[in-house]
Amino acid sequence: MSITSDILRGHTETIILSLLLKQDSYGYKINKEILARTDRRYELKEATLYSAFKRLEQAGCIRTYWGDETTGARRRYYSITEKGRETYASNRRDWEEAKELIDRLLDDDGEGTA
Amino acid sequence: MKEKLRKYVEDMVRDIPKTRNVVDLKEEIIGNMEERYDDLRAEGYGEQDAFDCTINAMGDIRSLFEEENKENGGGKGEPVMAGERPEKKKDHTVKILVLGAALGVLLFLLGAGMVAARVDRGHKGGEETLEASGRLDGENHFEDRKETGETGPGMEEPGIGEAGPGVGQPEIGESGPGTEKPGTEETGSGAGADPGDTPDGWRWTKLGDGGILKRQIPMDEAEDIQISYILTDLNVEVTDSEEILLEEEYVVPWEEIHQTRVSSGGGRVEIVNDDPDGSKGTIVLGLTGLRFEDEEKKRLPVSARIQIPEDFRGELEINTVSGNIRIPRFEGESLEVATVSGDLDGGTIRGAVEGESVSGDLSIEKAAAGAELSTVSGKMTIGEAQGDISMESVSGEILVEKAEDPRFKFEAQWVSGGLETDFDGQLEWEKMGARGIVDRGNGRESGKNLPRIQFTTTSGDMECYTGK
Repeated sequence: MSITSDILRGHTETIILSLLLKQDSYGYKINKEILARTDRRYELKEATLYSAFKRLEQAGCIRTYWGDETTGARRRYYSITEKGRETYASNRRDWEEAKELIDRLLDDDGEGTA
Repeated sequence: MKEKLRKYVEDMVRDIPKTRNVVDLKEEIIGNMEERYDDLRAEGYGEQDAFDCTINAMGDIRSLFEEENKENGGGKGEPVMAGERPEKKKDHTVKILVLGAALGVLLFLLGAGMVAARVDRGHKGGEETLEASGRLDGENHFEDRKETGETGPGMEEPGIGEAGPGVGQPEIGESGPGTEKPGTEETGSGAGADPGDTPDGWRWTKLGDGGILKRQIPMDEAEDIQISYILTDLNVEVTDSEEILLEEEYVVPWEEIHQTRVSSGGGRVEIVNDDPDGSKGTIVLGLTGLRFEDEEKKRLPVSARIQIPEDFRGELEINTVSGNIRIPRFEGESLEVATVSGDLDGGTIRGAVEGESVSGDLSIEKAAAGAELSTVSGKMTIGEAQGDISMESVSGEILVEKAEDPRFKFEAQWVSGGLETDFDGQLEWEKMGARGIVDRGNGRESGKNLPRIQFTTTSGDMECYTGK
């Protein structure tokens, strides 16, 4: 699992962008969604999440605002920008390409040496 | 118990100045922690368990605040060693591992110049003569340091010797220069460089914890050169030698370095240092760069100076992941550069340039025979442009400071973002583009086969000037 989570962690930003495509969200909720979508197999440390938010914000991919909850904890929401959508699309393409190439390379290897 | 969560975070950031960003981050974290805590309680966890789980799920949040603080200029106590130059630096593994989660933020700053890992090294070096931690850039003082290292009296660790393993030979045991044993190795030049058994005369010069490895690489009949590194900063220069001179700076001792493989064939010399043995390959590509989460990366050279023969006229291909590439002058037929987050700093390039990066900035002082550049978010700049120029980005800025051709075809396309020129009047403007034939006022050529300058971007700003 450690390599898997390394790889996943490398795509933290893209994962966040993809979750924000549908609706604005905040840290804990995003992490919960990641947990749910991976059948509880993967959860980010929240610190990782916050630094990803920061990178995304600095890159102009997301915007942030405070929710107006009157009760309970204050929430800092994030919403995706146009640039975020473009970045998501571009990262997505890159991932598809990498995935395909890796599959090809690993398959060939398996046949050749197994 | 919720007060305890708040207190936990408050205590953690007690010594950090409360800037707006720090307070916002703190409130955000506390809010999310409280909600997590509530959920855990609702799931049936006891108070203490829910508290522990919540803390555990946060990870290293302390370093987030430290980063925030540092960006606000609060980190002035950082030790900066003598001889460290305030230029572009790479973060290094050790530091990265320590910083853990905050690392993304650091990487964001990579392009702006980080000074890290090697700071410690110089202090440990002990001898003053070994403290210089210069980069192998242009006119550095490597030669001076080397001399001092070799002959300085009272050296605790002479640690210099001829290492002469054959090309691509991974085992270094027998040929290692014995850096641990003072005064055992004779360093007579050429001793180990006997063309018979070690065609490549290697030379290791100890420097701090690491050292400099010098090698000569014959061009043989090869016409082209390919260079591939991962995080190493590269300085590509010219030499009047007929061989390629390679100098690499490492931060680990000779025994631990990841050696560069050199091979030639098919008219091409390949210089490759891109895959440390035993690496799990956990280089991961994020939005803003790469993260090295692997101790193995420490074994890679932090910088390399590669001098190519001045009469080289072939194709030069350079790849890095995060290493910056500096090439002040290039006379070959073509230069091809690809990086993920490294910058290209090009001087006068006589041959055609092809450059590609995700987030690195690509800059060329003079592109004399055309250029084809593309980035996702990196900025592209050409000082003087001649020949066919194509620059393409998603969000990176595009700038041609001076289009030198007397007449050229200009074409720009964008989705959002804007175009600024000093020849607006000669263009036809559309909603998402502009085009036209630009005459700098002294044009003689006819309209056909004009050189072409072409900009394409989704949201980057574009500028093109003729200086007229």
